[in-house]
Amino acid sequence: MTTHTPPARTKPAGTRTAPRRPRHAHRAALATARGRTGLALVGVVVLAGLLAPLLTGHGPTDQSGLSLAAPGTPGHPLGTDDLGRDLLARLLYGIRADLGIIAAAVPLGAALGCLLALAAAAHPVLDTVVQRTFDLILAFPGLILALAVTAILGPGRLPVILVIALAEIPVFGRLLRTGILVQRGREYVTAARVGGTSGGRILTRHILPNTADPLVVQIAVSLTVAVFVEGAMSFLGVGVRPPEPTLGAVLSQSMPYLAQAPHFAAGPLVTVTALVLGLSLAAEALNREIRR
Amino acid sequence: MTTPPLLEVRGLDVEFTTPDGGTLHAVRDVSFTLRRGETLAVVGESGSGKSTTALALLRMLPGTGRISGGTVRLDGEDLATAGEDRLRAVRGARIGMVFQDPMTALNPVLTVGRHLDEVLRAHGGTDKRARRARAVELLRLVGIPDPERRLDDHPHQFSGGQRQRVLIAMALAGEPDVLLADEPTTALDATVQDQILTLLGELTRTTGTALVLITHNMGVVARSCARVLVLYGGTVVEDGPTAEVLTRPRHPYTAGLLAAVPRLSAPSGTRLTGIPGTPPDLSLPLTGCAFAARCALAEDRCHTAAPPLADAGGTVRAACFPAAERAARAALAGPDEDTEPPAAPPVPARIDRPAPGRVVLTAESLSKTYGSRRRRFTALDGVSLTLAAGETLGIVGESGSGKSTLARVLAHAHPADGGRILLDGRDVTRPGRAELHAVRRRVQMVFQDPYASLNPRMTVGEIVAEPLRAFAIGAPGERADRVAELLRLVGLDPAAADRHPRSFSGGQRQRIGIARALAPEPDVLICDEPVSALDVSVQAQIVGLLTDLQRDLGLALVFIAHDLAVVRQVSHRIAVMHDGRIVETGGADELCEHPRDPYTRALLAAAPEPVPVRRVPEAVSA
Amino acid sequence: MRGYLLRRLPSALLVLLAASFLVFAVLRLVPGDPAAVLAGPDASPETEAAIRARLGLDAPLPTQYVRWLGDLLTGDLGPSYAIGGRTADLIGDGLGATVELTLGALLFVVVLGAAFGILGATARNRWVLGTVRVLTTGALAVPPFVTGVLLVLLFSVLLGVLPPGGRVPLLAAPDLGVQYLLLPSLCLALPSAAVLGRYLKDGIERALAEDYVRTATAAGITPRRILRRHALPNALPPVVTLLGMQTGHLLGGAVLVEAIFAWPGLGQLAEQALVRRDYPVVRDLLLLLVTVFVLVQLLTDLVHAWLDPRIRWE
Repeated sequence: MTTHTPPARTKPAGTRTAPRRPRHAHRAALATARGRTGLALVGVVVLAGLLAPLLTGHGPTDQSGLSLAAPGTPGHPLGTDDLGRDLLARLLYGIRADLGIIAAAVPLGAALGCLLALAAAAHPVLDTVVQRTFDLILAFPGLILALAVTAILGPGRLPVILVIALAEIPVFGRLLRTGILVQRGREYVTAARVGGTSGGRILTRHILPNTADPLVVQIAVSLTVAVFVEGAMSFLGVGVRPPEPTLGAVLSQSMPYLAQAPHFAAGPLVTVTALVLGLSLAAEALNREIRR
Repeated sequence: MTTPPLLEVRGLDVEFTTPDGGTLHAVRDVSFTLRRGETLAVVGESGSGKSTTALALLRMLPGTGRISGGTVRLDGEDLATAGEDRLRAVRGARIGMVFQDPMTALNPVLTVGRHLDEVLRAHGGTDKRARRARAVELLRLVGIPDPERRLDDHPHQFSGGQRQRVLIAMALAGEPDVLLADEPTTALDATVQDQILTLLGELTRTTGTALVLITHNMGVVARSCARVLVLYGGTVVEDGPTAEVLTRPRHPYTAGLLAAVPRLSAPSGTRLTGIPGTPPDLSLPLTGCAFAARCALAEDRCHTAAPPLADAGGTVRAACFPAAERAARAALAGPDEDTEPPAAPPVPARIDRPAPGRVVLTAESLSKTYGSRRRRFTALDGVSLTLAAGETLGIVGESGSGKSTLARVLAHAHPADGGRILLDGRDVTRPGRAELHAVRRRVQMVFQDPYASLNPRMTVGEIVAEPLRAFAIGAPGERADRVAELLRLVGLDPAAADRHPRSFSGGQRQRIGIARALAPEPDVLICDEPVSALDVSVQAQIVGLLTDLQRDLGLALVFIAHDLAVVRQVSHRIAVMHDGRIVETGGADELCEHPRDPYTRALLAAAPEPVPVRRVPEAVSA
Repeated sequence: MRGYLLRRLPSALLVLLAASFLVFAVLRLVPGDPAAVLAGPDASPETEAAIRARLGLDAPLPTQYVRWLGDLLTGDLGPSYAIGGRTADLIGDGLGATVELTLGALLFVVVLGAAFGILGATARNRWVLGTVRVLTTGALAVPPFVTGVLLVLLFSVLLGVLPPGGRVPLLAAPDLGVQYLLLPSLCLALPSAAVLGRYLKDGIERALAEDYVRTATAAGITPRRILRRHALPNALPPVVTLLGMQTGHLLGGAVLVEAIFAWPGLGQLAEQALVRRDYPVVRDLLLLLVTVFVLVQLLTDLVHAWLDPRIRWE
């Protein structure tokens, strides 16, 4: 028997173009130049954060006599801040703190959103309730939600995580809900049902695998949003409480000294940009591969 | 024969670059001429290059497509090398084009008047009021009632047939010399197709516009064009007057294609002959005749040298060595010898099938309504039917008639709102969980779209094994053997089990779907338009497979289609559906020859036949 | 059109009502009695009780909620607890500044987004395409607090051409006001402009691949006119929806940008009120922002329906 792959021609009469999809689309996406650059940028930042204690001898809150020392000062490769704390240590531990927050918050939001979407798929009444919940959360755009949450809980690490997770719930929830609705209408799902396949197996074997792609892209996008939100909340003074460093906190502390000591801001500026740029490049690479 | 050709295509080659960097030779050395006022059909199956040829004429090839050789002369001017400005002056003004899908070919946010206005404006209409008046005139010309008012409506407020009329009006707006219609009726119901073909015929007659009609449907060719060009694998295999080509095909491919087309006039139980094999891979270099690999009459030279398009008797030209030689012999021997059929179509064989047995499935006044309170749509309205073991019940209807809903309700894919379904006399309309499982094991379904009904992420083996698993048939270790057996049963290589559906053609995917449906050894098989998405030669194979399976396994079949001719051939009895009701039921031959319901009569009248007159026991030499 | 509005309105009102309830309930559950905060640490219980009675905080919660809704409808929001002055006046002052900032940013979003989108979809020059791609990726990838710092560094510290922060009302002194407005509104606009541009580019590209564009091409219509008359009208409705969403984000983002550029708007007011636990200001401000956001969404849906005839008919 010969197999015949339909060549790329104009649509033949009465047939639809076949869904074309290599098995390891994600891996292929991340192997493109765009994907590799993204992964490398993210990798460097993450590694720096993980290896913080090995890369610097100072603690992030240790104060020395030198304040606002220039980069290259012996013992302080990036200089010191206004309180004489080592900027490299603050940067590296700041990365750590950021990673901790986004690694907790984004999966939490994604999981809650997906759970709600599954609940919505289960019953029409639940669907209405879930949809209205999403509407309500979305009615508090971005930082206004942050303000509302900190109004109740006060500043700190937990509110930051909560704000990020809360904001991501409707994003993931709506994405999965739409995906399930689309997949449910697909003919191969009907075919499986007629073939006697049980509801649970249809969900895990047919529906969920075919809805996963946009969720993977969204995780990468949400990680960038999380970095934004953490930074913005620190900037507004409603983020993680000082003196603990985060990328946003270090940057916001540098603001008054921008004219005299621009190096104070340089470290977090470069790091945040690299991290977010890397994540967006990875997201874009995944998205391109999936949409093909 | 003295007027110079209006359009002259010489040695046209079109290539595409495939995603992996290869070259796809979609059109190879296509030549033909078109005279003023002539009607020419370009016919072929998918991958034959017919649509690509049409688009190449206007240099509108999609994506990486390019003309890699040949000329397209319109009144002597070569369009293949003309500049964009010249092309724009030709498009719409000298050559108008109508596309396949009227649902997507109109811009949803623009009114119909705006569509026509844009075209008139592009071709020099400067006065706004004059353009509007002309737009009204055009809509009237194509038979849109109340054109002044309809001008301000948006496309979604028109039916499919009306949209196609609007597209024809747009194509005629610039008063072109040639109307290029690419499958203009494929997306339409038979009765609407009939109206559109009538309109095209009238328009070309009254305006003197030449028509090039691209189609896969032999019936449409016979109905609307004086001359036909048969394409296969990107090459022209036959070119001649329609009546000649369709009654006495010179090329073996044309003959095979005609034999595969179901005839409305052929009695129930006639076996259709498919063409074995698959079309050539256009990304490989072609030496010899494109059809040689599938041709029963192929000789050695057919595989090594490409046959030129040569005189094949009468005014017909064919690209076939044996056909050309026969014609030469006949010319020497004189006109009397010319009656020898060059490539005889096989004898239409009868299928020996056992008489239907006891009744398995009964439906009593089924009803089903879709939609919310705001918009209700009654899909089924009191449908009753019976189905016996070993029997095929054909269900025919146009889109929206409720035939697909009926299939889904019978297969318990959707619940019925009212009525009863009896399986072996037991009421299974609203089965409990366990009973539903038992019913599903006995009633299985084959779907229309072989692309959409297979999960792209599963292997063929997993797909076919899924019902085995669901119904706990066989030990897990033995299922692979059963899958192999099922794949063999539907004519596939068992090695297919490890691959994904995407690496199979439409016909092969449909075989996979049938294997899946047969896995739990059902008694009843509901086939929802199982061949509608397939080319005719493949359609014949699948229809043959289904009838063989019925004979061997004693299956009761419900065969749903919109093509009355196919349904007549495979069915014992036929039910005609219209607006959610069965308007007429009867024995297949009886219903087709003596229809009682006016709707059945309309359907029969609208179905285009490939050969107008046909005597059933044909003069055939073995 | 009116029918569509009537269908959309109830759900918008429902969301608003739920949001008001949420804001009220949540802020009343905040630890720390507002009356105690207001009275100061040394006040006697009697003083606190008197304050509580004056502010109506001794009434049952449902009564307070209904009373608050009534106050909202009459526009009399009562005194602020900590900042001083009347809440309505505080919010009114800040609103002017924030609206000015948001509108300035919206202008940037539309202009830059349209330029990014149309150039990205139709330009044939490699350098133009490359520049557009780098700019959109950059604008998306760099958070506003980073862009803000960079803008200040470049235009104020290094070049010294624009002020690093503060506000002069645009209507009072247009020439000076523009100078103060330029950096914050650009900083606020950049991410939204990039999103809009990318969306528009995708929309145009998708529309250009549609069958109806093929129909138009076959009819001899010029590419420029096809873009303007056929592709853009189809690409626009979803972009308008997106613009509505982005307006909401601008409102949220304004809070941050105001902090960077010391812009005396609602964001600054919110920050101040939060720090000083000025409960009525926070409450009314949150509800105001949510209301504006929901109204913008509603308006967006209406514009979308007006642009796309299919929606009206559904």
